[in-house]
Amino acid sequence: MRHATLSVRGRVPGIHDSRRVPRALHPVAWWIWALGLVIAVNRTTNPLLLILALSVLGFVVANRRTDAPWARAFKYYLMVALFIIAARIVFQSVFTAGLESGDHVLFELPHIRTPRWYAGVQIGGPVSLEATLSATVDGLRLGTMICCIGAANALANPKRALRVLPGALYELGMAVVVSISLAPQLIESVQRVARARRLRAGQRRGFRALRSIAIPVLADALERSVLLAAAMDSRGYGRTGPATRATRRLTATLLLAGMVGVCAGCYGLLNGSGPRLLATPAILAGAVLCSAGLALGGRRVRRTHYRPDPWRAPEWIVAGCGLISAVTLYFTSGYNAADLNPSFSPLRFPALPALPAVAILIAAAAAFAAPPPRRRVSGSVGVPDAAGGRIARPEVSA
Amino acid sequence: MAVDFAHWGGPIVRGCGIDQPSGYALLHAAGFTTAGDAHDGAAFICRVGNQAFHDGIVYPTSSEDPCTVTPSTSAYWSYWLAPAGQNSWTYSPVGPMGDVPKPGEVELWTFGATDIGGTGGSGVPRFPPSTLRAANAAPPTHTTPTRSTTPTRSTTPTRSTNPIPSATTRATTTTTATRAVSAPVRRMRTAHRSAAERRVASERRQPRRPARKRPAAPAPDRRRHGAAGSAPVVAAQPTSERTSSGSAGPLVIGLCLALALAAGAVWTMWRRRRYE
Repeated sequence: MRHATLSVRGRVPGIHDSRRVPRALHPVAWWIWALGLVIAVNRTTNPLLLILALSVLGFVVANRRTDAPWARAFKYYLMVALFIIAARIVFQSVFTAGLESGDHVLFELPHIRTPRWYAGVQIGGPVSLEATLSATVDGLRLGTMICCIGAANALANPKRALRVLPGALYELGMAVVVSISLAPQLIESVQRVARARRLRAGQRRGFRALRSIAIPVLADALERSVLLAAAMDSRGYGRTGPATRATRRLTATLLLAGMVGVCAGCYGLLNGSGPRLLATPAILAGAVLCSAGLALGGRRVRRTHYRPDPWRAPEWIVAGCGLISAVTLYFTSGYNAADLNPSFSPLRFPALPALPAVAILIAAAAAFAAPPPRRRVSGSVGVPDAAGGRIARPEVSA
Repeated sequence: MAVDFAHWGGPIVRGCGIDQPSGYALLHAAGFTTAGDAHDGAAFICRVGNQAFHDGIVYPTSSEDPCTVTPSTSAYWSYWLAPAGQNSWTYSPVGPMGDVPKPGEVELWTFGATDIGGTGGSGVPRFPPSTLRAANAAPPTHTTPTRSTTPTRSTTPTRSTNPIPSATTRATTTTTATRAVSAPVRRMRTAHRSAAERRVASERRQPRRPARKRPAAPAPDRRRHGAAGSAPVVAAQPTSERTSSGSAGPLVIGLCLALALAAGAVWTMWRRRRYE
C-alpha cells in the first residue's frame, strides 16, 4: 500500500523507471564522464559540436540530478558561460585585429590612434562579422568547458566524491567535508531562528533584529560543532597511529620533492623553449614520488567504509561514454581534422563531422545508463523508501 | 614581397602590391592564401600557400601543424622587413596586421625556427633583400646600399658588408654573398670566441637589428642553406578558385540535434516540477 502511495506522489514516470532501484551513481564516474567531455570540447571550435555538447550536458543534468542544493547549480554555470561569451565579444570589438579584404563590417567604433611602438594593439575601429563570430565561438568553447565542470558538480555528491581521496589526505578531506556542510547548516539555522521570531510577538527591526538572530545562530553553530567534535572523538579521529618520526619525515620529503618535480615538469611542458628533459621525465618522476609519499602516508591511516559506493555496470558505461568522446576528438582520425576548427574568414557554414558528432551524442547515453536519482519524498530527509525494501540513506551524510 | 618555401624544397615566390593598408593585405593582394590558427585567428599566419608552388597547397600542412594553438618558435612563418635602400633583413616588430608597407620596401616570409629576439635559427633569411628587388621598381634612394643604421662598434669582420654588386642578378648571387660572409665569421669565431659570444648576447637584447649581420648564429642547416641559396625566384600567381561558402545542411542538422536534446531536457524538467 505504501508503495502505491509513493509511486503516485514521489516518483516521476520516465525518470523513475519502476524496474530500476534509485541510487546515486559513483561520483568518480560522473567526474570521468565530465572530464572526458572537457577534453573533447577543448579540441574543437566548431560551433555545432559545442552547441551539441552543451545540450547533451543539459539533457543529462535534467534527467539525473538529485534535489540536493548543489544539484541546482547548473543554471548558474550556464549564466557564467553566457557572460564569458559576452565578455569575449566585447574585448574582440574593442581591441580589433584589423580588417581583411572581403570582411563584412558590422559597425564601427571610434578609432584611437596608438603610437608606432605600440602598433601591435589597435583600440576601436571597424568590427567585422568574421571577427565577432570567431570570438563567439572561442567564448563558447570556454563556456562549454566550464559547463562540463558544472554538470559534474550538479550530478556528483561532492561529499561522497571526497571519500576517494588517498588515505594520506583523509584528514584534509574530512575538514573539507565539515566546512562544506557548514553553509547549508547555517542557512537552515537562520531560517529556524527567523521562524521562531515570527511566531513570537514583538518584531524588532534593524540592528536589534540582527542581534536577536545572530546570537541564537552562533549558539547553535557552537553547540553543533561541540557535538560533532564529541562524535568524531568517540569514533577515533585524530589518532596518530603507528607512524614514527622518521616515516613522517620521509613522507613529507617524498611529497615535497614530488610536487617540485611536477611543477618543474609542467613549466617545461608549457614553455616549450626549455630543455626537453624538464618536461615529461620530470612530471613522471614527480608523480612517482608523490604516489610513493601518499602511499607511505596512507599506511598509517586505517579507514573503514560505511556503505561504500558500488562500482557496477552503470558506472562503467557512464565513464566509458565520456572517454569515448575524449578519445574520438583527441585522436583526429577517421574524419577531416580541419572540420574541428572551421575558419570564418572567408565566411562559410561550419561542417558537421559525423564521427565527433556521434561521439558527443554518445555522452548523452549517460542519462539512460545511470540509475535514476534518489528523490526526496514529501520534503523530509531520510524517510524509508519502500522500493526494493531498501532504506534511503540521508543525502547529507558524508 | 616574397614567401620562401625552401623548407619544403620549394622556390621563393615573389609578388607585389601597391598602396596596401597592411602586410596581411599585401600578402593577399599578391595572390597568396593564408590561414590563421584556431587560437589567435586569421591575423596570426599559420599557413601560407600560392598557386605557383604545388598548386596552391598551404604549408605547413595539417599533418605537420594542426594550427590549433599558436605555433612554437621552432617552426613558424617569421616576418622580415627590408625598407627601401636597406640591404639587410629586419625581424618585424609588429604583426602583418599592424605593419603598413611603404613604397620600395621588401617583405619576406620564411618558415623555420628563430629565437625569441628573432636573431638566430633556421628561419633567418640566408639571402639579402637585393635578390628579391625588381630592377625597375627600385626607388630613387636605392643608389648605394646603406650601411647598418645602428651605431655600433664596427670591429668585427661581419660589419664590413661589402655591397652586393647588382640588385637583380641571378639567384646565385645569394650563394656567393652568404659564403663571403660566413667565411670570415668562422675565422672570427675561433679567434675571438668570447667576444663573438658577447656580441650575440648583445644582439639578443636588440631584436630590431638587421638579420644579415648575424651569421654567427648556430650552424646553418646544410640542406636548407643550399636550397635557399640556389632557390629560383618565381612570380606569384593569383588564386584560381574561389572558396565556396559551403552548404547550410550540416548547420541545420546540427542545430536540429541540439534542439531535440534541449527540448528533451526542458520536457524532463517540466515533468519533474509537475510531479513534485
